[in-house]
Amino acid sequence: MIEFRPSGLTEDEEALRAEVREFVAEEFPSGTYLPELGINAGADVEFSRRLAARGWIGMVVPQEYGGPGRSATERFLVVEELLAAGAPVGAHWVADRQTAPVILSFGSERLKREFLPRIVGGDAFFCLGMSEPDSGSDLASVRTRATRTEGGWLLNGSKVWTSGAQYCHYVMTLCRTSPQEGRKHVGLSQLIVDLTSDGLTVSPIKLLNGQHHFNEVVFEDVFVPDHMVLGEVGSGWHQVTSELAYERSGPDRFLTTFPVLRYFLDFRDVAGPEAELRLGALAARYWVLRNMSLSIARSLDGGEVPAVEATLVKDLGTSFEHDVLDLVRDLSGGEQEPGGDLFDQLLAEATVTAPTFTLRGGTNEVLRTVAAKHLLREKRRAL
Amino acid sequence: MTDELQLLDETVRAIFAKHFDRDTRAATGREFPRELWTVLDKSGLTALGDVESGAGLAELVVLARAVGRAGAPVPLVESAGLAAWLVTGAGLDLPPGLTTCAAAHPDDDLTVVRAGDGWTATGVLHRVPWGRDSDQVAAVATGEGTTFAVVLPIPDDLRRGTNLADEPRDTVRFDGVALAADAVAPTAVDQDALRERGAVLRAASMGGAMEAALELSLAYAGEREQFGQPISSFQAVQHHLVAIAEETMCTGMAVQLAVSASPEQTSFAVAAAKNTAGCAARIVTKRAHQVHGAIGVTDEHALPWSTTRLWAWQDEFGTTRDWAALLGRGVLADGGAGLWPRLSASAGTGEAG
Repeated sequence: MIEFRPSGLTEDEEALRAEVREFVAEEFPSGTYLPELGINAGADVEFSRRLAARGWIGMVVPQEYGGPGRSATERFLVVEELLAAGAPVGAHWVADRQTAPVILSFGSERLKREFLPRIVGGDAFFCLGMSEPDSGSDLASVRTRATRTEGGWLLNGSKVWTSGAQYCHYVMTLCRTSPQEGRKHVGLSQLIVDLTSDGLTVSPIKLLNGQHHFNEVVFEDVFVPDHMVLGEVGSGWHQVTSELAYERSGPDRFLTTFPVLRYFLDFRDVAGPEAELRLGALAARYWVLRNMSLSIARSLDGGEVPAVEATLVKDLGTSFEHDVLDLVRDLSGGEQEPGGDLFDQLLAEATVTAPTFTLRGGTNEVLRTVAAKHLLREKRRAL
Repeated sequence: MTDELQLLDETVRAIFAKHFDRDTRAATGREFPRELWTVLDKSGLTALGDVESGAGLAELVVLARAVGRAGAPVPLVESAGLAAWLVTGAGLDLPPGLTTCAAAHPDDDLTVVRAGDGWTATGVLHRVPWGRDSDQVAAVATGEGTTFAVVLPIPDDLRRGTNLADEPRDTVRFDGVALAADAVAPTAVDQDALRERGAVLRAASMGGAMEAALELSLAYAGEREQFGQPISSFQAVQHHLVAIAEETMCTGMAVQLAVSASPEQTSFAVAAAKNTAGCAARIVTKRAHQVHGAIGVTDEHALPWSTTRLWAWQDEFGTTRDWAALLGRGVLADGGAGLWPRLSASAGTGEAG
């Protein structure tokens, strides 16, 4: 049976949190701004640089590569404060959450020296080139391919749902580097591709509310030098799946709609027995989810890779993000007015972008299937 | 879990496995399993909550969870977790025999008054767990403007009742019953504090019952074949299994958080634990039965040992709704600015890892 251990904080961690909380309170006084919604947050390069100046991007990068060498737990504490306030974390998000740890784990010395200091400084932003028009949850079926050429690779294919490609510097691209023969998980690689490369085009795929968040990225004979291959050629699948514990269980998987609840309590009169009952159950769920998520960060620091736990937390957390909206809508009553005050605007945006919560990073249905297979396997082993 | 807790867990599991196996269950039916109780009593587990023993809430949560996992119809939580703690915490001796504890029922109204060297007790204790099988009941009483821990003999004319798991829940009435001086002592534990502790321990037992339901569901789904394949190969069934696992984990986490809560966090963490267990119980019972099909609703099957308890326990020591309302009043009192600090308060006393 999977078990989560509650995790208290050390004095240093409490101090870090107090520092972040003070920073956030100054940057984002309630009611003076429209909060951003988690990973859907827009890019604010200046804000990212202010965070970088405080050492809060790429926190897990060790000092020898220009970082502060802090723990996954410390990163968790910084990030959750930013998300709870609805900070514009979009620009550096992927680089901070995912790219820095995978370059640390798999990157060559050259890649580490080239990219980690720039990530830490808020000078290199990454997006993820994973999904394709015909590959969503079935990621290993990607068809973007790289073929050998003098000094590197020629990349052809297209990626979709690439968040932030319009302002990022690099796209971490999963592609096929050898033709599929038998198992489709073999022969995949990850390439770091400069978004200004010749032959690369980025076109917007507008969200249903007209916002520009997603992109299509098309590669036509894009040259990628050899040293920009992350890790071993052919071990892309292993590398991508090992990112998942980082990617799946963080505070971004249950806090996306928290600012909506916060503004609801700040700007509407909320009272009565129904509000008490429903907000009470909601608070219990937040409390439990946050502590499970924190517990996973603590496990990562301990060298464990709690992949299935992370999967379950993502399923629970992202489903819960929808529940928060349902509750706020029920209690706020009446018709939605997307052009109303800040709360109205926020609720409207959250409502129409909510479907993305349980899709991105692998649909919840696929996550459940992966988790179920693990649980059944463990059970068979125990019998 | 620390090594000591691990050892305790293994010990209790082993006792239930040896003295409360399927055959014993079948043989004792709905009767009180006296032999099992005798073993638990001799092992010292029934008095584990004695404040002199050094065992705290963490140890008692291990016991409670094991009771739930085994589906054992014994008042171990009431005896070890509540009665021993309440009575010895007030400086009284725990009497020999089976001492159950009042269930902090909202309608309980026990009062004591001095009478010569001793006391007399008057009032009603509702739905006392295993009242009929107990020698005495520990309870909280009021009198002289303060709160007392009392130990009362079980009267002969109790009103029998049960919960949905057929566990005895008997209502006992005291009409000027004479008590010795050493059966009453002032206590810092009021009715609310007793209910809080009961709620954490019930939530722990519910987590144990959910673990059993999960184990049974995984095993059954893996072996039961329909349409020529194990039903575990169907995504709809897989999603049931995952939901059961998720809710079981949430309950376990919520209980552990209540155990490690600092004093100022206790009421929030306890309410969250019992509310979480209650919400989870609804999902787990529904989905575990759906996985099992009709065999799961038969008297011979082990699943009802878990699910009937989950249906019953969600209402004991405060209903799921009671605890939600309490949490909700806190959220509204804190307002928007107070919500995040409340939800992200560190669990425990700052001990990392």
